[in-house]
Amino acid sequence: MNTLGHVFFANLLLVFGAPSILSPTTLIVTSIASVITDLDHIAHLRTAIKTHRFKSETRTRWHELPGLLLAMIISTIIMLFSAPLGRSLLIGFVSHYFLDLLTRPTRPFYPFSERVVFLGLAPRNLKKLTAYDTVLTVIMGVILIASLHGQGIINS
Amino acid sequence: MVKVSSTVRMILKPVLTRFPILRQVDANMISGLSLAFTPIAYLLLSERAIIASIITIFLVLLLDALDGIVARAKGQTSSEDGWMVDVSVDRISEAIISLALSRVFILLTILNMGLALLSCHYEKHAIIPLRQATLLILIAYYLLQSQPTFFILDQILFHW
Repeated sequence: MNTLGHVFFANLLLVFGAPSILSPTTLIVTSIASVITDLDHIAHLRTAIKTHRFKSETRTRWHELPGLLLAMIISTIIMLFSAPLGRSLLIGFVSHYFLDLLTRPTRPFYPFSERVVFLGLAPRNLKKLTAYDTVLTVIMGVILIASLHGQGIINS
Repeated sequence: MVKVSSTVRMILKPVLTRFPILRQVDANMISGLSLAFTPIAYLLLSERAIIASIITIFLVLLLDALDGIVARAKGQTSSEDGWMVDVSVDRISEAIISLALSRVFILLTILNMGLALLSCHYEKHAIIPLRQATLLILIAYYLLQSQPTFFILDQILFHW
């Protein structure tokens, strides 16, 4: 999923699943946590510009289950000091891995195994995938903005 | 288990013959559907809609069981690929469900993820059936609402 899609989905989970901790701070924390995992793509940016996509080989161990394990441990430790902060971090991290596994070919057990897993719920053709991502992102964005507006977090 | 899967295979074969479009449904796609339903379980649990979340988690587990059966019925028998899809979907699914639950469940999810990685490294399968356990605890939570033990279950599920 694209960066904006990750941010929207994570914040939707926060808005509808954890309304008690909803605040501008937790929204920002969730947004950052939902995209920070993608930082490992930077090293492969030049290739991605040429091929118009990030392949599963560009994902480091921190972008797969070992990374999620570490992210969950860090979030749980932070939760001991600040429950809203830890929980919003956790929502951001988990939602990223969820969307990636659902819509992209991944290597979940890398570096223990290099086998690629693809669930087939998103097209592999680049044009179709871009359209699929765009439609989902717009839908999620509209729902998120409407719900934040409804809760008074953003004003018109 | 063997009897159950052979019975389901017996039911599935004529269905697959009658509706050839179903042959295009990949076992991985069923795992994907199972994963796609998990955020619904998370949202329902957050709302404390216990019956609805029990039904959703049951559906998630049912789809999860169905993928292996469909793979065998269609002759897709690469066990390592299947194991990888299954385990990765299960772990992410548990992580999503644990977002609505107490820290006890988050810690168990972390433990299970560690066990899954070790299972892959050492090629020995050792994983806690956490979603099945959550389903049983939720059923007990629903049934024991008027009992004194309800308070303990409430603490374990949502507060600790």
